[in-house]
Amino acid sequence: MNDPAMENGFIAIAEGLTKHFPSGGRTVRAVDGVDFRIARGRMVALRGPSGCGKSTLLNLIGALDKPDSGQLQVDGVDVRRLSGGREVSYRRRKVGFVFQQFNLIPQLSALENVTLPMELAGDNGRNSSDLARQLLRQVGLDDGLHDRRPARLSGGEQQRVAIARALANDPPIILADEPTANLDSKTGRLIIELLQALRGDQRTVIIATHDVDIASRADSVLEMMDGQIVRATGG
Amino acid sequence: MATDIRQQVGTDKVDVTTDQSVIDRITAPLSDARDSSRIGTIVALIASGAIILFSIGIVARQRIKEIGILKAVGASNWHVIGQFGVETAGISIVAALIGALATFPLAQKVADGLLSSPSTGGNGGRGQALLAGATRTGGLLGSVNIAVSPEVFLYALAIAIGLAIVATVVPAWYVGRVRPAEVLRHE
Ligand SMILES: Nc1ncnc2c1ncn2[C@@H]1O[C@H](COP(=O)(O)OP(=O)(O)OP(=O)(O)O)[C@@H](O)[C@H]1O
Ligand SMILES: [Mg+2]
Repeated sequence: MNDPAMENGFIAIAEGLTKHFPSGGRTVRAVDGVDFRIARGRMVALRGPSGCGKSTLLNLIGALDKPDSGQLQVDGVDVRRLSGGREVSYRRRKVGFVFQQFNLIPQLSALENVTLPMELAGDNGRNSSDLARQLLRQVGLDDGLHDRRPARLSGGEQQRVAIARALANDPPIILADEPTANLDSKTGRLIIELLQALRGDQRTVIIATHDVDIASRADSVLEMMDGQIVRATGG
Repeated sequence: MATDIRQQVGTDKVDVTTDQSVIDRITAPLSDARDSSRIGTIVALIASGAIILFSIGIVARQRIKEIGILKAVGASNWHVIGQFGVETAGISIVAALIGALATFPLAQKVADGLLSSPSTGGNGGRGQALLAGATRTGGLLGSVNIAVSPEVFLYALAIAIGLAIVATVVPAWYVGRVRPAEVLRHE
């Protein structure tokens, strides 16, 4: 964990990572002592049955939730130690989240949804707007749709906007939680191909899914069961 | 008899409109009118407070997911508060002012009823009087002004501002506690 050479090769390293939830007097062991090393530039599928802890694990990696114990290092950042301004900055710069229900801001246009994270990061004006248009084109959203609000876009189009938003600050990791579950299979395949095209030297894509087809397209697969990683394939 | 009326006014019973009670009102002392003014202020305060908490609750509930999204894409708590705090504070200030302004004429009406003054001038005149802090004459017992006193108005304004501050601090505290993972969980 302290070996810098190792850290260079891996974008995310977890040891004994744990997140439990109290639920009606009982404890749900959503993530229960997880170890993994995720190599840079891969597309990784996080697979497993409903309730096995995929979303919880992604949320921990994205600093949307805090682990109870264990180690988690992402791109050289000790995620457990994040709080306040450093946590905010981590969410802005290190990760881009793509959700199952798209989660765009309904009052903002497609373009504004993409410029939002740029503005939060301090990039204002024309520059961010030009870059956002470029990203929307990159994810395949026609120029005519850039000024529409999410309600006037199809599910697939909304998910494209969400992917462009995730790319806004050029983060080293994209986290996608069942990004195709609300889409028909053809649109879902296009979205997966899009995510696949995003991974590269500088970008890792982690997708939580129970879709076998998606998992088969991934460079490596982490299989989860009852809060634990039971199998890792493809390195 | 005065005790009867105090009870009637205090418990907000308006169903007693017999001749006897009208006579009672005519003879009611001025201090009762002052009491009703105080009641009016308290009612205004409670109403404004309720409206503020209600509007915060609605904004927060409707927008909880949006707060979660904003935080997930890297908005600081202050940014979110800037967005929603201004919204709730704005609603609150308007609500507080409307509450206060709406309740003072009510208090005035109660006073009118107590004094049984023959109707002189409409509400518009009263509104002007309220702004100017002027006095109004008429009625059997001479000049009585409930909602008009500048002190009362300033007092209400101070309360409104106080409530607005509360209406900013409460959402701020609330936003700080929102965990994106929690509120963005589906189902
Ligand atoms: N905030 C929470 N409070 C209580 N229990 C929770 C919370 N978040 C998750 N859980 C529980 O933790 C377990 C793992 O949930 P998680 O959402 O991570 O599973 P998942 O693998 O993503 O499932 P799915 O495929 O249905 O999305 C589940 O039993 C879930 O009910
Ligand atoms: Mg899930």
